[in-house]
Amino acid sequence: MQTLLLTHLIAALAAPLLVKHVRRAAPWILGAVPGMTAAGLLFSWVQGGHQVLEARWDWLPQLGVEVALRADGLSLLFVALVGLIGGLVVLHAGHYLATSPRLGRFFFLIFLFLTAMFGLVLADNLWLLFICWELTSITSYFLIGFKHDQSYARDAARRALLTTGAGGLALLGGFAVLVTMGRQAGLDLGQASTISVLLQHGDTLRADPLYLWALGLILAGAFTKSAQIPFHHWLPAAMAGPTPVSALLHSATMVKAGVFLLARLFPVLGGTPTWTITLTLVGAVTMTGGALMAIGRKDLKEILAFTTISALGTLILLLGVGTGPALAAMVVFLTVHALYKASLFLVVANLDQRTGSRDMTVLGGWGKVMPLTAVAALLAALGQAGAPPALGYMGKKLALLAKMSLPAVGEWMTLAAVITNVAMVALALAIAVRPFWSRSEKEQPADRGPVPLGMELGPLVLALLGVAIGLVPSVFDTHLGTAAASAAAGYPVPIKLKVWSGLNVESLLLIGLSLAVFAVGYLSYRKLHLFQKRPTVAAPLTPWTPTVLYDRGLNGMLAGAARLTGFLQNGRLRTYVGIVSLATAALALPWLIKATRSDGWSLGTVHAHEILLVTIMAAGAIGGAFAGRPIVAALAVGMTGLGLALVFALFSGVDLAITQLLVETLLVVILVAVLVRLPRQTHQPSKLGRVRDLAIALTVGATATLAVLLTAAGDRSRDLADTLLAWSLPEAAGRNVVNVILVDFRAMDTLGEVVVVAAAALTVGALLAACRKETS
Amino acid sequence: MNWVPLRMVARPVMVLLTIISLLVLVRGHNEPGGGFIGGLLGAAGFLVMALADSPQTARRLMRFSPATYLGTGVLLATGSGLFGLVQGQAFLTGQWWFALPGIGKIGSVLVFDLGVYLVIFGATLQILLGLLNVKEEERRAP
Repeated sequence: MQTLLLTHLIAALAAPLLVKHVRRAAPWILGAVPGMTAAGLLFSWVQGGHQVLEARWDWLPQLGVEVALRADGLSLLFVALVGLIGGLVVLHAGHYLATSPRLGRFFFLIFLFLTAMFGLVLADNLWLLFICWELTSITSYFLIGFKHDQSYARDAARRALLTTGAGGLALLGGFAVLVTMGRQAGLDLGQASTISVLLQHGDTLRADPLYLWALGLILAGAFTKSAQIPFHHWLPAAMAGPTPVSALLHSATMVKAGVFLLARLFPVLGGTPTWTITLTLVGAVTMTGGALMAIGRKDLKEILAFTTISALGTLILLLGVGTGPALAAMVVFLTVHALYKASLFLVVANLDQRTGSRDMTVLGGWGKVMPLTAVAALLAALGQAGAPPALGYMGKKLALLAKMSLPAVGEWMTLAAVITNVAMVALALAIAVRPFWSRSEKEQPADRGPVPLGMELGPLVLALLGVAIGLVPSVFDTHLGTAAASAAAGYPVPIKLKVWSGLNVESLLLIGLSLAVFAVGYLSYRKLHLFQKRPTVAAPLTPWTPTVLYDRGLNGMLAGAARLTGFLQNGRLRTYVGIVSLATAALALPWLIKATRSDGWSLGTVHAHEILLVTIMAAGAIGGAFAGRPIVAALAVGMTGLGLALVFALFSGVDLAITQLLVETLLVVILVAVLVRLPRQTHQPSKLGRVRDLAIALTVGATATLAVLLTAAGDRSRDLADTLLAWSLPEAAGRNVVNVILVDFRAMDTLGEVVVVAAAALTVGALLAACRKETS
Repeated sequence: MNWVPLRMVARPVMVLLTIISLLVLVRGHNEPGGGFIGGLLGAAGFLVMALADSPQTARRLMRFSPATYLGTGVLLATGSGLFGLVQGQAFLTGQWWFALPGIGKIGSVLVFDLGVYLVIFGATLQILLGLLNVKEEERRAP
């Protein structure tokens, strides 16, 4: 397993070099990596007699973070799909983007994504899973925004990142709750973060009062990632990425991460009434909604995006039903969908490459020109339509049976499934038949020349596999299928796929239903243009669709941020000083008042010369406040500063005194040098403004006074001083304790401060340079 | 400021302040002083030059830009922490190497303080010379 991950990481780093030096061979070399390594892992699993594979290394044991990899049936099903589709997509994309100057970067990103995806499905540690989960979101962001010079691509990428990122945040919270629950159940931190351990404590965890929090947060993460209504809006937008990316990420693999997570955690979280109701409801709405939304589209890629949403809804619905047969149906349907959807996306990419168009109302008759793609489309469409002999037929059958089995709502679920299936049949015909075999009245776009073999191979292999497994289901069902379904359920769920399940009422009913679905589906396909006229019924709802709500939320947030910035940073220095001082005082004052009440305070002994000094300082400050000219104010404040230096000197803080003196001198000199040229009074504050300023000044002054009094009264400061004085010479070989503290005892603090000073100085330099540019 | 006496003493004052600032830096561990004060004193020297003559003269006499000084300072301060690290101790643990007559013990702590000196020196001059420069240009503009 570690080999699998490392190989992909190395491939990611090597990809730009390969593209640079062996451009023609690079797609073939790189394309072999995911498939071969995944096959290797599957092979060792079969060799080991279907034993679970494990490997673990410590990472941050204090936090329960461990690089724990575990390959059971469910993980391996995903590994197989990701490896197979990933390899073919890499091969395809290498030709699809052959002319792109950023091909190396593309391969780098896609292999990074593959590493994260494999890590996600193999992780046995919640935090490792989470990290991989976020990595898939981030790489997906870059891949959707691959054409980053186009604003629509950037918007789509941001939409996907914000939506799935928000879900990821919820997921992080959900995992934290889950680990807390595990700790309460008596597990230690490492165990509570390990998925395979949690899976064995399902009953205890489901009874925990925190269960609903964990479930809600994890569902939020899964639903955003797997594009469930109302979070689905990012998925169609994500079609802004290159089509092979859509084939891999937004149909077959990444969007299924949510489904994977819920299947993975099913033995922990699943089966409760809340689980069943939420998942079946959301799943059913998404399933039907996705299909209905797909049917009005003209862009083939968009149709595929919406049917993906629908398929994800079906998977969530099946997880919600949660019975053994339902989980078996989920596994089969997931495999079916991954194969045909990736294949169809690549078909559309080929069509796009050859014709430059993806409009189903325009294209027609391309079957004779590109027969391989057309055959792939046809075979894949069998899967989508759920027609025999494709595996899709069995997937559909199992899914339908599972939906019917739901108590109370079985009929409604059946109705929803039938509607969805009708739409799927119609759309399958629209994708696989119309562009290739129909006679279009519209003028066809110019032929852009044949598609290379590397692009023909992907869709064909995937579509053929879908049919081959349908013909010989035993290669799948008793091995990987059963193992995956059992891993998801937590108990053995044997899958036995049969095209013909004997002559009984149930099978007759199913066949009848299927035939009816095909018939209505064909009719809908003939009348598809009716749906494509923008439905006016839904028009009043338009401002409330999730897409629009997201836009509004984003714009509102940006406008709010702009307003807040405008209020806090209005360009007037006095506002900044006011806000910063007031905020500091507001944070410290309540605490100071409380501490003064409990600890008391004392002035200590006061000498006459001290009073004199303080009076001088106060006079300087007050004089500064009332000075009419800036230069007078600067000098007056300088007097206060010098007084402070004297105070330091009196209390034997020689270093502080010297520093203060130097700072004050430099400050006064520079103020005088700069302020001479300022006008007399730039801004005459109103009466109210002066009262406000006075209030701010008094508050800040009171805070500082209280802090000083409290420090003088406490014993802790004395202890600290004595300790530091005692340590200074023996521990740090220095007699100047102030300096020893700065450069030795608290050197880390000083380092931080020094870096802040450096950053501030550089910023001032940049600002001044900008000013200069503006004036010149 | 075009005041002849100031211009005459500016250069000696600058040299003197620079020397004093370095002394303050070195003796800081045992007597009042250290990198922070030293850096300020050093900056004050060049500031005198900038006020008496022009910011450009001060910049020229500095040889390197203020940003170079403060960058070197951050590097030295951070780098001094590595000495402790390679010894298997915590980052920034003080290491002492040998003693020099008249200066005292030499160690990573002094390197750290030199870093602080350079950062304060560079930062102060970066800001102040920058401000004076703006003023200078405004004066030239009508």
